[in-house]
Amino acid sequence: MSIRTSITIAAVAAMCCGSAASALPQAPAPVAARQHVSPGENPLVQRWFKNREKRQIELNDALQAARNLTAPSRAVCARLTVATWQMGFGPIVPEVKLRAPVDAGMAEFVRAAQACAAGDLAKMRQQMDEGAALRSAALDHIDEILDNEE
Amino acid sequence: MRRLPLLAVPILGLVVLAAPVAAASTTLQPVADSYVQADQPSVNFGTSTGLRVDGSPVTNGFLRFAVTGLTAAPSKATVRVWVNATGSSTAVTLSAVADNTWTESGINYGNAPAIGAALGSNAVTVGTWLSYDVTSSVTANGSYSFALTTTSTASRTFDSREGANKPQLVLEDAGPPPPPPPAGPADTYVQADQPSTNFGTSTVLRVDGSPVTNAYLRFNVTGLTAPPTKATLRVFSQTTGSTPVLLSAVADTAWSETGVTYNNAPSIGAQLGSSGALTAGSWVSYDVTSKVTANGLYSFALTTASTSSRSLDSREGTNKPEIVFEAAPPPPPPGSPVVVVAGDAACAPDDANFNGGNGTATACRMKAVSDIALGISPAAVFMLGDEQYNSGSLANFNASYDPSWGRLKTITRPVVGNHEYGTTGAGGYFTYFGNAATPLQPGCTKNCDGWYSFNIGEWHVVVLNSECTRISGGSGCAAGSPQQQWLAADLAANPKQCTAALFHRPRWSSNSFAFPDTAPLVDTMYAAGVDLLLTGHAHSYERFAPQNPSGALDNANGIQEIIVGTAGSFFTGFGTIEPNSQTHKSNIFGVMKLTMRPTGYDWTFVADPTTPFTDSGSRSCH
Repeated sequence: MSIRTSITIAAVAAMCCGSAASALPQAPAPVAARQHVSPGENPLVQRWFKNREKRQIELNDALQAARNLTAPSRAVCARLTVATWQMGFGPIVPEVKLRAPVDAGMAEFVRAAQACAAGDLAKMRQQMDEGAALRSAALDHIDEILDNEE
Repeated sequence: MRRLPLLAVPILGLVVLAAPVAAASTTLQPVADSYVQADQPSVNFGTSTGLRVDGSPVTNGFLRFAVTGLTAAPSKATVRVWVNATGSSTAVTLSAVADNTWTESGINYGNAPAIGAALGSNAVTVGTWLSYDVTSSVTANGSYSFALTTTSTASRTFDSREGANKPQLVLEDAGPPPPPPPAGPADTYVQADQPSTNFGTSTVLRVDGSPVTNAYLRFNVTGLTAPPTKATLRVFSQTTGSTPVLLSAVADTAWSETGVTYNNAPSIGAQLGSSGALTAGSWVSYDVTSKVTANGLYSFALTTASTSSRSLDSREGTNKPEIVFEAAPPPPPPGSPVVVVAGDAACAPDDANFNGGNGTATACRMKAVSDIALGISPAAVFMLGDEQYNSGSLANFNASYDPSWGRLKTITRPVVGNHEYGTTGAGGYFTYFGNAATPLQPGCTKNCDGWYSFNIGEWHVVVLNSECTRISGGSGCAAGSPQQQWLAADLAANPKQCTAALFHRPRWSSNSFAFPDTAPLVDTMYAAGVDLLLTGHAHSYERFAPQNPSGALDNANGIQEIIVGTAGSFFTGFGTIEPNSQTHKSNIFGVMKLTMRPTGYDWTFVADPTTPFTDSGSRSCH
């Protein structure tokens, strides 16, 4: 009987060798090389996202400010209204597959801004949550499209 | 000052050999054996290397043992036969044969002796010993004959005395029982349809719901000087299946590896954990921290409700069961620690390029790249997210990340990426890395914050969650969000000359992977004087000049972003090169070696030999 004790930064190693050798599965054929120019590498798509950066940042900050409200605030609601409105500006994304996902959740955020302006913070938060869920799911889709995995 | 997060360090791996049971026993081989076959009634098979048994045509095996030297009736007598081949698992019965005058070279179906009372039955599994208790028959010196029969119409063959694993009659002394062996590590399984059979020497542990088959493990824990921070029992599955294998405590630690059977198996106590779905060729982990708190013997049982048998490597197998202990981290390395930086690592086993974990030239090279990291012997690994594709499941972490980058798990500072959220709440990631992934929320395994900080050398490092849409109501990186507020407070509380930030999605990137949602975090970092931002997500290498939050060159106070999405997964490229991008390389695998000096840092990209590339330099902190 022996006790193997080791201090290691790597995973604990197997303690000895088994004698049974199993056949390794055959290596599958490599997948076809991804397209050379994926949407993630398309300069037009890159420029479109970059042009939208400031509006997107402002929308996030406006949503967060609204989420932090404990009482109606005309200034915060106005900020959210403007931020959602501004997201509609700009050219259409030059990749057809991206058109739906990049606007996911926007309708809910617009309704959240309307509820905010009406002083209905509960409905505002509900709409924000629904919009956030849609936007989060759409981001997965966007990632796949940019990686050319779709 | 923040408390240092615990770093998981395995300090002991305990899989130890048990001494054989010191039973006083004698093993006899048959003096004659053969089989007889109804459709060849005059044919003798005495020289065959196998004993064939069948229900149609009726084919029966015969064995005779000559017992000598007994001074008293044995305390136990067992006939054992080795299953060489079988057409089904249907039981084979051993019966007494009163006539001992038959000869090995003369017996045939036409003259075979009458078969007497059945002594026991066992289901048949190829490559195992079947054991029959014949204590009631073998009571003194003399000749003893037995017959093997079955009702199955599928034949099965046992090794004969001319074969490799000869039949045995094991006689155990009736004298005073030997002192109990020192209990030590052990494992075996017990099976309801072979209630008197012991499987202690098997290279696998079988678990099944029907027939009930339970595995037992015992560990001898030594060397602990304090309760471990975490104890994880790991077993290696050879089977894929959705129904889990459950781990339970067993109070009895005195059972014998070579003696325990279904009939005398210790009772099974409280359930400790569940495996979840099983994947063949991967480790299954159970948290036994609450159970294993000090040195001593610990017994466990593995059970399942599945009616499909599960096989796990035993301690006689290749990947032995083990308990991995984690202790508090060593003090941060003094001076100028060298760390490895990379993200976007391990393919899923079902990826067409997985190739047994070795990948191809253009994808799934997590093993080769982690080999490079191991060769650097770093003080830490900064793993920049998307550790495990495609959905970050725990099973895939165990099957792919663990055998590659997981070799450095104990020194890894993980960052959560978007692919981790392919499993609900990034549950695979937070479970795999444990508290190392979210040390501010000990025990959290799903929907955790994922942000934390630590010191290394003279540096302060913040790790952030750039999956902003998935945390804090969907604006988790915005100004005023919990993460942004924590970041500001953490940086204010940890004034260091050198500070780095790690997160997954790059703020700047020469393609469409730049992610503006993190801008408020970058604002906060810039205001606090952060020097270095390390990210992944873009599967390439790109180093920017120091920039202010607007992306303008700022050599005096700017943050230098370096994207290192090269840990092995696959390639992505570039679109329009951004103005302050100083170096960019696509189609590349490798790691960045970062030396964290007290007043600055040195970087060197160490490429996989299949994608040669170099980039190195130095910079002083603000």
